[in-house]
Amino acid sequence: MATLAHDAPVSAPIRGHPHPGLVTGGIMLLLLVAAAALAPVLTPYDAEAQDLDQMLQAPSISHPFGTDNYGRDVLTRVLYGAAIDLRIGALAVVFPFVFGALTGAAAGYYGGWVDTIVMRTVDVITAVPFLVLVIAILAFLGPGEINIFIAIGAVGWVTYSRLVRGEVLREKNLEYVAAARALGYRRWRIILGHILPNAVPPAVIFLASDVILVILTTASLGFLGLGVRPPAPEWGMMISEGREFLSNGWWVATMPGFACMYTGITFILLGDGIADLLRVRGQ
Amino acid sequence: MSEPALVVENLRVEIPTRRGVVHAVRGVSFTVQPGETFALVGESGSGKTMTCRAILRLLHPPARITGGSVRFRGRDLVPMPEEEVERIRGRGIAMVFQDPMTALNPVLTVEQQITETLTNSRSPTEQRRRAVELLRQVGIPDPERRLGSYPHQLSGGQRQRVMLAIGLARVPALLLADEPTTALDVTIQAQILRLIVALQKDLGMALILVTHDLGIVYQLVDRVAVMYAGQVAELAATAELFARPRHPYTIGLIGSVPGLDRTRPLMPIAGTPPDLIAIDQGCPFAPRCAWASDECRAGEIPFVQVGDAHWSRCIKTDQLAGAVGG
Amino acid sequence: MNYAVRRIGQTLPVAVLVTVLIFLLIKLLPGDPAAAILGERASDAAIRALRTQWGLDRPLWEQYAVYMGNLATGNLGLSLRYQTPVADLLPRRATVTLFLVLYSMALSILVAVPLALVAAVHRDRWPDQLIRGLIALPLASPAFWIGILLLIVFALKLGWFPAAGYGEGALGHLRHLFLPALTLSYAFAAVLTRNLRSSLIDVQETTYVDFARAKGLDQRVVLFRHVLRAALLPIVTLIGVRLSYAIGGSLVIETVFALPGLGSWMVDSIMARDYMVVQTLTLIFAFGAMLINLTTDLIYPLLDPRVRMG
Repeated sequence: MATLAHDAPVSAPIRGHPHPGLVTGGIMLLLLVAAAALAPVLTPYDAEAQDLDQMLQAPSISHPFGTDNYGRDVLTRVLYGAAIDLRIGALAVVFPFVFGALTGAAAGYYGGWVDTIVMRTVDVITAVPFLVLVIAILAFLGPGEINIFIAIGAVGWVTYSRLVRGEVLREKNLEYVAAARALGYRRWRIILGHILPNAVPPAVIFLASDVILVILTTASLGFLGLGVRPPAPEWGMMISEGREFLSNGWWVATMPGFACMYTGITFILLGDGIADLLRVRGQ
Repeated sequence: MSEPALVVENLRVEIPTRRGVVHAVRGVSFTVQPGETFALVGESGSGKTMTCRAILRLLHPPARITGGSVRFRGRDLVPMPEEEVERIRGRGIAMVFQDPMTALNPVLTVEQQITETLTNSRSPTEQRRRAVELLRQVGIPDPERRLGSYPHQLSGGQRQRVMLAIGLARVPALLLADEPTTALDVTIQAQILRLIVALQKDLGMALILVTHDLGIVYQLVDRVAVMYAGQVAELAATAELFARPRHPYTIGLIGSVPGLDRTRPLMPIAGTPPDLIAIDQGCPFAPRCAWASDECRAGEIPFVQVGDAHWSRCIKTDQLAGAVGG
Repeated sequence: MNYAVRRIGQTLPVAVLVTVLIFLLIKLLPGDPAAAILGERASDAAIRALRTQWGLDRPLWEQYAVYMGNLATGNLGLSLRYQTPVADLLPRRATVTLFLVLYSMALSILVAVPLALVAAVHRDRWPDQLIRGLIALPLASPAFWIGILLLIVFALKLGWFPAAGYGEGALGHLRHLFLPALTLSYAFAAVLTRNLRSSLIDVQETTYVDFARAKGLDQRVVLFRHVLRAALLPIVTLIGVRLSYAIGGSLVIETVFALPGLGSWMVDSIMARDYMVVQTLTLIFAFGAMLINLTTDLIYPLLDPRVRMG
C-alpha cells in the first residue's frame, strides 16, 4: 500500500487556464436551456395531447423515450418538463438567497437582539427536516407552482442566513474593519463595500448546490402529488405516473429521472467550478 | 576509529511545484560519530529540516530524494524499501519534532502513545512500567498519574518531554531533534536542550540537533554543520568553528548573535536567502558576501578542508582570518 | 456533565418554539379548519363540536394552551381515516421508519468508510477520481427515482427482493427493507464518503501522523489508529445533521416501496386531508430530528477528550 499521499490536487484550477468542470457544466447548462427553450421546435409532438393508439410504446426511432399510458411522447414531455424544473429551480432560490443574506448580515453585524431573533427563528425552522416542513406547508396551502415558491422561500432562507452571518462575524473582527472605522468610514459603507463582498461568496457557492436541491425537491413534490398540477409535464410527476407501469412500461418512470440526473450533474459541475474559482481568486 | 553512526553523502532533495522545482537540499554531506552531539545550523529555508526528514525517508510527496546516500549501520537508507525503513524508524534512528502540540495525537493518552512503540516484546504490565520509567527519565514528576493524561492537559515543556520519552523508548543509536525547543517558552528552552544532551550522553546515542540557536550550539554541541541554501557551508568542531570561522556566512552568523563575540558590535547579515527554484551557478551566499568576487559567482564551489577536521565551501578562506576571533 | 446539561437546556426553548411553529401551520388552511378536517359531508353539529373542543372561537394563545395540554397528556389527536387515536397507531409506524433510517445509516457507513479510505490513500490517482465521480451521481439524482430503478432491476426483473411491504419477522424485515434502505443510503453514503475523504486528507497532513510514522509504526497501524480515528470525529456531527435530512427522505422512499412507516402515513394523510395527523406527524418528525442531533452532540465529547475536559 502506498504511503498516504500528499500531492497538490491535480484538478485544482491553474491560473489562466479555463476550469474544466466549469466549462463542461456551462456547456451542459447551455444544452439544457436550449432543449427547454427550443422544445416546440425540436419535437413534432404535443406534450399534453393524448393519442391512445400509441399507448405505452417502447422506445423507438419515432419515440426515442417511448410513450406513456396516454400515448404521449415521453421525450417531448421531458423536454417541456425541463423548462418547468429549470424555471422553478432558478426562481425559487432567489428569495432564500436575498432574504437569507440580508438577515444573516444584519444578525452578524448588529448582534444583540437582532441576532437573537434571527438565529432563534433559524434554529426553529432548521429543527424540522427540510422536506417535512415544505411538505407540511404545502399540505395546508395546497399544491401548485406559486405555493411551491412560498414553501421553499419560507424554509430555504435559513441556510443562507447562517452562512452569511458566520462570514460577517468573521469579517467584522478582522483588522481592516477596525482600521476603516478608525478612519471614520460610515457603517453602511463598511458593510456594503467591505464586509459583504467577502461574506457573500460562500453563499454563492451554496447557491449552486441549492439549485439542485430545489429541483430535486420540486421533483419529489411532484412525485408525491404536491407540486405542479397535472397535466403539466413535470419530471417528478411523470415518474410518479409511471409507477403503475413499471413492468410493462418502465421507460415512463425512468427517462425523466435521467433528465433529472443530467440537470443535477450540470449544477454540481457549475457549483464546484464556481467554488474553485472563488477560492482561487481569494488567494 | 569505530564505524560512524551516520554517513550522509551528497544528499539531494527536490520538490516539484507549479512554479518550478525547488532544490531544497543540494549535495549535503556530513558524518556523525557514535555518541557525538552534532548540530545542523541555519536559517529557515536552509534545508536542515528537509535533510532530517530525508534521512528517515519522511518526506511528503511530491518532495523526493534525487541523489546521494544516507548510510546507517552499513546500509544505504535511500533506496531501501519502505517496510525495511519502518523497522529502522524509532529503533535505530528516532526523531523528535518541533511542536509537541501538533506532533502528539490529541485523542490518545500519553501512555498509549508511548506504549504503541513498545508492543513487540513486552506484556502490557511491562510496557506500563517501561513507560513510567521513560517519563521519569525525561524529568516528568509523578509519572504514573501522567500516563493517563491527554496532550492538551500538559504544559508545553511536559509535552516535549513526552515526545522525547517516545523518541528514547527503544534506545536508538541516533536521535534526530528538529528544533525541539522552538515552540517552547524561552525560559524552558535551555532546560529541555540540556536534558536532551544529557540523556543522549547517558544512553550513548548520537544526536543530530537541528537549530538556529548558536548560543546553545556553543555550549552543548561537539560538531557543527552550518547550512545555507541547501548546502553545507562549513563543517567543524564547535570550538574550532567559533574560534576560526572560515565561511562568510558563519562569520555573519556569529557576528549577529549577541554575547558570543564582545569585541565587535552586532551586525545583521544584509540581504535575504536565495530563491531555491532559480538557483544560479556559484556560491549562493555571494550576493550578501563582503568578500565575494566574480570567481565566486562563476562555478561550483568545492567543499575543501581548511583545518583539522574543518571544511568550508568557500574560495576566499585565506582572506577571512582575522574577521572574527583568530 | 455540565456540557450535557447545557446542551439539553439549549434544546428545550427551541423545542417549545417548534411546537408553536407547527401549531401555527394549520392556520395556513384556507377557511375553517374544523370544516376542512371533517370534510364536506360533516354535519354542522359535528363541526361546531370540534370547534369547541379545540377552542377555535377562543383567542389564539388559549388554543395553543389546549394544544399543548393535549400533547402533554399524550392526546395526539384522532386519525380520521383510520378512526383511531394517533397515539395508538404511532408505535408500529415509528418502528418501521426508525428501522429504515438506522438500516440505511448502517449501509452508508459500511460503504463510505472503505471508499473514503481508498480515495484518500490514493489521492488524485485513478481510484480517487473514480470514487469522486461515483459520488457525484447520487447527489444529482432524485432518491425516489433511484428507488424505482432499484425496484425495477432487483425486484421486478431479477426478483431478488420483494417490491413492497414490510414483511414478517426480523429476517423478513431485513429483506423487505433492503432496497428502501439502500435507496435512502445512496445519497447519504455519497455525502459521507466525500466528507470522510476530506477529513482523512486533512488528518493525513497533520504533524502527529508524521510523528507516528517517525516512531516506526506500521503503516496500517498509523492509518487505522491515528488517521481514521481522528478523521471520524467530525463525521459524527455530520451524521447527526444528515440523518435528520434523511428523515425527510423517508417520506418519499416509504411511498415508493409501500412501507407502513411514518413517512408514508404523512403522505397518505395529506392526500386524505387528515390534517390533524399531518400536524402531529410534523411535530414527531421535528422532535425526532432534534433528538438525533442532541444525541450526536452528547456522544461527541465521549469520543474527543479535548471537548470532554474543556
